[in-house]
Amino acid sequence: MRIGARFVAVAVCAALAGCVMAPGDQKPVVSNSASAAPVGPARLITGGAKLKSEEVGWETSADPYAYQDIRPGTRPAQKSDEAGLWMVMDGMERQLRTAGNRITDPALNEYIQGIVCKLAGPYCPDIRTYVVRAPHFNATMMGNGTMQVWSGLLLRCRNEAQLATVLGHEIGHYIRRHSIQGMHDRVAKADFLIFLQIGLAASGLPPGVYNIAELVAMGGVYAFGRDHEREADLIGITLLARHGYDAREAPKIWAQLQQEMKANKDYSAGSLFYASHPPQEEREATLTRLAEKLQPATDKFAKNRDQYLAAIGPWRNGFLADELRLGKFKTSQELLKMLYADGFKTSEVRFYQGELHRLRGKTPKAEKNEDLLSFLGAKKDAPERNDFEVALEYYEKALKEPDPAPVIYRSIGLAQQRLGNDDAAREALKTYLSLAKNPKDRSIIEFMIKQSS
Amino acid sequence: MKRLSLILALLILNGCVTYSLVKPGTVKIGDAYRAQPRMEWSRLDRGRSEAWTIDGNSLHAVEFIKGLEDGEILFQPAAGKSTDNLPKYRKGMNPLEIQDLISNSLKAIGGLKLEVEELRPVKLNGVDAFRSELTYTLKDGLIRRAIAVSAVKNEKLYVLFYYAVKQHYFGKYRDDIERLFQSIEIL
Repeated sequence: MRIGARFVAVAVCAALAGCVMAPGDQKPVVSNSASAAPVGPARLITGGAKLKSEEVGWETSADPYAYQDIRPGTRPAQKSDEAGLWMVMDGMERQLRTAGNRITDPALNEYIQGIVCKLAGPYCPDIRTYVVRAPHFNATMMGNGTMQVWSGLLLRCRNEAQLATVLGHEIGHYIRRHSIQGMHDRVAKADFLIFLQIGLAASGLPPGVYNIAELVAMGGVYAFGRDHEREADLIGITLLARHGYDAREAPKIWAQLQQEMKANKDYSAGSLFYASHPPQEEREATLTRLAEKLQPATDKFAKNRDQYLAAIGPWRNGFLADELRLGKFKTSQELLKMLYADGFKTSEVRFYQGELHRLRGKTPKAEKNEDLLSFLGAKKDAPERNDFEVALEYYEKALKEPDPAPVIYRSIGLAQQRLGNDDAAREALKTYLSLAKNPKDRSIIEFMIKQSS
Repeated sequence: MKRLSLILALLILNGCVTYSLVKPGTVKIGDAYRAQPRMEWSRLDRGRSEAWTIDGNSLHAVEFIKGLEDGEILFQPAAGKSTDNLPKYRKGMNPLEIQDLISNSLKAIGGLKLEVEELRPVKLNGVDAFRSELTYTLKDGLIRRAIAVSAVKNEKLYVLFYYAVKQHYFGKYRDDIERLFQSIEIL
């Protein structure tokens, strides 16, 4: 059934692709006759280095559609299928421009677009970057140059070099025209499958054989996509190195993500056969090898940590709150542990470590009734200690770090109230009101204090 | 065969239209509220809640949450979406936690850039309640403004939630909503 659904998806993609193909224009706008290696502008902006290296295991990845890199400042020829794909993507970009979760803050957007422009060089005007409030580790690139940077990525990067790794990767997708390559591949494989199935049916083979053929075709589609990711990784790290960023930061992103994911014992990377991206371990290992090759260990390269944290700092509080709402308790806990070790705004991190426990609100005896975070999908593991007590410990730690926020006292009040310590709760809420500047909840908190007195 | 198709189509269409007319006067909303509307509304009974609107649900509506019990959710998600990840009411919640419940419920069903602009205690026909005003944005960029009045009676949570498109519609019915809310009695 699952395979069937996937085949239907391929068939729909093929049908959609068919819709945007004018008769006789099945070929790419510009075809590169034979070479499997990217040529032209990709080499230009990455410093002329040979992109595909013998040192990485995916040297032999096929490029059967032989697409040349897109040229700066160009759009696909109007009658091409690629132009049809761009038209659809232009529509999606129009929706993105007014999307409710778009972050339009000029300072943050200028900072990120600035990095994109530094890396992309002559492609800078062709790539429009949209920062989106979405609490997952992700960035995307559409074939028409629409790039999305998700807030979950910004929360997880530790410096500008790490962010530039991902931005360079997305630029790689654009230059190498992976969208149209992927579309052609899905169409080609779906076409092949249809003819194969007709042939198999005509030869009287049992239906199970068709499923095997479907499986092979689907695996091929995903494998092709993974090769694109590998190619984009290579372009990304090459751009990183060329612009003086510390290329050793690139593999760290994947190491950090693995550490986060593996904190959840139930985590599974899923089947590689159906994976859209290569395994994180492979990406980390490949990028480590490439970083060593691209930059001698003795030289010093830029991480731009201060610049990054200055740009992200005003937003991180909200990004952390978004992260907790996902209810992925174990991975969020690991992420917060890593962010604390990183040393930026440690009071803020300690506060959210406390919030995580207060919102989860489990107690060893009454976990069933007290689980405030059950709606967030946290698994019902019996905790060793009362979550409200653990939360209070983190809040106390947060108060000892530099620049503690008044809101910590508000949460202390709520946790104390849950523990039945009404006097301590009142005191904490009073402290919050005395320190907070024009809090919107002043009158309701005054009411709560009065009621509990 | 044609007749059967026609009957089936009518049955399906009938399933879609469950609005009924609310006339000015005294109106009971389930076993939860008694209200005194001064104008006509279209009502849609959803069981645990009831929605009243004039211009249509996507433009504005009042949701009457009919007394949530421990473990129940505030807003129903879109058809086909799971309720597993939606916040649940827990008895013993204080006003700040109830406000978090409202905010997080809205966020879980697609409310973005949510800001609570005001939070204060009020009376709902003699019952202690609290009121908040919120602004949030939908995925397509449409900005909504909302008023929530919440009260706990016999450990059940009662919420009156008015939302409207910020431009034009929120202001258009604001006075009528204030009068309607003042008339409401929890049963």
